[in-house]
Amino acid sequence: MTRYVVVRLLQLAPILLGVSVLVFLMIHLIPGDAVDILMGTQVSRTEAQVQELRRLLGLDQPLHVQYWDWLSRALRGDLGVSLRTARPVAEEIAARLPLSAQLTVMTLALAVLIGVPLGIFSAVRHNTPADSLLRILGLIGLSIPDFWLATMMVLFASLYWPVIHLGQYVPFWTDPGHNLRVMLPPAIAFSSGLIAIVMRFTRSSVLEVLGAEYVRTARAKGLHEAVVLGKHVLRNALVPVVTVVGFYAGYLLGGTVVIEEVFALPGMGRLALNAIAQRDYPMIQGIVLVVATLFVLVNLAVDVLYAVLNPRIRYD
Amino acid sequence: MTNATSPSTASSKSSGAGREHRPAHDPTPQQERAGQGTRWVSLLRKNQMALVGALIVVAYCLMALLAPVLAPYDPVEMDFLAILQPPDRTHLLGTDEFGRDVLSRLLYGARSTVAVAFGAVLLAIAVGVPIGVAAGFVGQRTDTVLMRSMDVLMAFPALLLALAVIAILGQSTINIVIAIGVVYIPQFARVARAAVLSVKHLEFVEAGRAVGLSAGTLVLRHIVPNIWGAVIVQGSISLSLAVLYESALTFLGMGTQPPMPSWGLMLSDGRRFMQLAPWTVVSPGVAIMGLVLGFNLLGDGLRDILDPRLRGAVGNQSFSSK
Repeated sequence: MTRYVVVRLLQLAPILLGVSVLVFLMIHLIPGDAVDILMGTQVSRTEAQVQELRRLLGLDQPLHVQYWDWLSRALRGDLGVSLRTARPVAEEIAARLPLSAQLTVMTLALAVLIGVPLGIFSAVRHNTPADSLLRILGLIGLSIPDFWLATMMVLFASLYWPVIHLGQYVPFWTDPGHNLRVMLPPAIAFSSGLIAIVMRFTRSSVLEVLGAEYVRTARAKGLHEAVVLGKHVLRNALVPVVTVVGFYAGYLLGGTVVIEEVFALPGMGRLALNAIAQRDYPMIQGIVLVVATLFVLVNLAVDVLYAVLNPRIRYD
Repeated sequence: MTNATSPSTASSKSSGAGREHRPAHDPTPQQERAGQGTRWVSLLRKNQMALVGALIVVAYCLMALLAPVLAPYDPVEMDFLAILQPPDRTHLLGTDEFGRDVLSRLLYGARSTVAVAFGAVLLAIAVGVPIGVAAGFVGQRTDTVLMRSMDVLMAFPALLLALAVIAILGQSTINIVIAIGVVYIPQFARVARAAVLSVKHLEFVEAGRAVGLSAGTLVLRHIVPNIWGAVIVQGSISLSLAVLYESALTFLGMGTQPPMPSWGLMLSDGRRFMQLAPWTVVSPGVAIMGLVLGFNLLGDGLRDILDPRLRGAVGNQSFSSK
């Protein structure tokens, strides 16, 4: 097991290195000169200002020196300074990350708590009207744009329950009740697609296991259907579901931006959006680097969890 | 595509590769003689889900193409005497805050979405499939280098990668095509590679090699025709997500710029007045959902058709038949 984790970690190293190179190169891939673009709106600019900005962005050094400086500072937690607020990028991200992470965790929890039971129910009752209804709902859930659902929720709340004011975001530890009241509607809207994905996947996974020979054997030896389902079917069927849910954990973290925009939540997604609008390149690079790294690490955790749960599979 | 009459084995996994030539049902001699196109049509007819999906998609494409004919008004023409009109006979879906006809804007908005979705997926196929084929066919170092670079691209969550590409290239419709296309390149590379690996060692390829066909001929005439099934399934799944990404990105103001209409932008603009005029935010969302649903139905149906292994689990037949 330890060996497996070490091997996977070693495999990650080149990927993370590649990620860092791509993120670093972002500012160099901009068509034209980044400094020109940044300075573009200023009518009176002096050569000294241009040089200063160039130095601030580190663009006055040879490429490999720039990369090495940038990477070694990033590894020590220094992601540079925002061009608009002059505050350290790492600080700004640290202030916004908890909200996006909480939204992600709540969304995952909702998707599992709702999607898995529905999927099991659908599989057990397959080819019944209830199953058909759930499958249609699943397709609709997959097709509904989450930001539209979010907008509809805000619209209906404002039209029919104007007294309910969602209120401002407060950190969970400050006021858990208030925090959950603010965060639950966005999490519900955000989870619509994932509930459908988890449900569909659980359904087909359970169906597949139900057709396996060991399940026939279990039934043949006279076990009660509930025991067959609980002990033989679900244990095997839910293992792949872990992978799917885990895969989307990282995915969601990068996708909170639209939901944050609709519910006006001060999370990392909106930070990224503002940074793009203001061409705050160090901030964009910092956010992309942090989220991509988290994404890779979450996927590693999921792989390890999968290997723990399923001893048959070891990728050597 | 006529000479790839390979008997595919059941060993190919997960990608549905090499199954293109295995009929979904016992073929009549007539079907056996029928061309590839007829085969597709008859398969579509047998899978109603895919058929409904295909019809929805075709309807949207027609909407986009025929927008100038169908639209009752100019989509950007403002009419300050008809601001925020509820749906009625003159404006079937109402008007927005500039008095522009919502129906006309929806019809024209379909152009941006449909074009971006197809453009992005075609771009991803054009770049990703050759990478995957090269990786799978050549193998060894080439495979490692190509697929590890794809892993790096896949290390970015999709929407964030698209936003990063737009942050670099700037905000425009073309750049949205590139941004979404880049997101999908690794997925097509993976699907194509897996499909190539599953047919690479089959007898007909070995036979081609044995009679001295060049690598290029082997790939183009014997391998590529056998991986299209997998690529098409992946394509239809990607199209549904591409529509969602396009509308999310235009919603965030990253794509189509005003005053030209796009569904995401209409939804975003409508939010300011939605308590007064809910119709401005309801119809764009329904339009997006319909098209995504069409692609999803088509994708599900095509997967059932092209990957019979899953049919027991997903389709209507008994799962115990395997």
